[in-house]
Amino acid sequence: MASAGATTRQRCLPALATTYDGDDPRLLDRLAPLVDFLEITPDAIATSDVQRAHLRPAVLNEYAAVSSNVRFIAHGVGLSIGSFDRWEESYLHLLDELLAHVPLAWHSEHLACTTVAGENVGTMFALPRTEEALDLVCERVRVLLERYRTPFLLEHVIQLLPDAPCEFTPAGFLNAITSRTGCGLLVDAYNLECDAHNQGLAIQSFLDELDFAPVRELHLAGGTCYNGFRLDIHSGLIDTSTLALGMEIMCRAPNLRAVTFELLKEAIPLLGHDSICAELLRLRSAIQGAIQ
Amino acid sequence: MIGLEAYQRGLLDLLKQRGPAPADAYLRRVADSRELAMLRGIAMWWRVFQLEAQCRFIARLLRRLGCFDESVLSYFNRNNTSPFVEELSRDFLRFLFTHPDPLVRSTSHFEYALSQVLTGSAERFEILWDHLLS
Repeated sequence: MASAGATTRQRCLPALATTYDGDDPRLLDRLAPLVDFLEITPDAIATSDVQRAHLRPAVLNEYAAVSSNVRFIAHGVGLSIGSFDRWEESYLHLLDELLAHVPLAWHSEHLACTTVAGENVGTMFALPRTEEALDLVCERVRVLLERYRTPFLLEHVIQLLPDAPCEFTPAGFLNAITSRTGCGLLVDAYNLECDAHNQGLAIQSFLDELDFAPVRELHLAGGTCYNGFRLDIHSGLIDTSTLALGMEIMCRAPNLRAVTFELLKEAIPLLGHDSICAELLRLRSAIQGAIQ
Repeated sequence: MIGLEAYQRGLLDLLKQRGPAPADAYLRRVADSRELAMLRGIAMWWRVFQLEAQCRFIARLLRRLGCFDESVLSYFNRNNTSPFVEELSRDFLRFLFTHPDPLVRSTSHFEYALSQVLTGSAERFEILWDHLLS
């Protein structure tokens, strides 16, 4: 565990959050007393007719039913903030719709590209860490901050493909974005482990270089290894190594507001409600143990 | 240093296995990489997972015919696939309307009509079923 200093020991505990994207009210009933925030993926609770995508009212009603017990944050997938030509305005329509129903403490997106010239990629491309990409992302972040007046965080995604020629280190690129725009950062401990496994990322060097002041949220998740790759599929419980790394990040991040157990909706039947709730209790206990 | 547009267009072409071999050195390295094969596999896995859950009749038929994954891959590589499962399913079924196998064509028409009716369409559909069930 990194030394966090006296200020860390005096600070408030970060809140506990987890993903909930609807359609499982029995799980929601059990989650609500355990967490402080529910993290909503607007794309995951949307449906699309011929005209446009919109949020499903039944899921919005589920959130309304627990709004006296928990707060909400949004974590988007489809904005494509790094596309060379344009971002996906349709995602912002979903975010607008969500904000009209649910107050958000902050919202976040992946630092990635999911559409290219209007064509959906079907996965995510990480951005090349270049001045060109930096300028493009920073301008869009400024527009988002101006438009929503709600804190906005960017999350680094895993780099599965070989690293492109670049002008910044992984942490240096994130530092440049946060310092130029004032946006926050969402650090994903499992993504860092994936990059270490797949690309040889030196996690400690990354952490030593990263400016932790803008880090507001920490994602913790479990995934799987396949064909020699570690994949960020968010299908499992949190590995011991991921939890330890997450707690180190938490102790280094003085302004951290929430630690989120990120879980794919499709994985819920595989894990079961009991183990998800037990994982949240384990995480709450780990947070308390690491801070106090 | 590759520009952002060339980088993203190049990766998309590689992912969807189309276009000429890239001239850029980085894209050439990606083209030959096992990482690209993995990324293609992930993109395909999601499409297969979604379509199998949403288009149950046609998925089952194509599986029996041994060409489900191949059909999804062909659809994915040749089309701008929607991130929304309803649109993805609708477009995949439409893609199969011209399949060489008449049973696949009829089944895709039937499942498409069924999905439309279930989502409130008042349209009337007629399916030509040129197949004797045994």
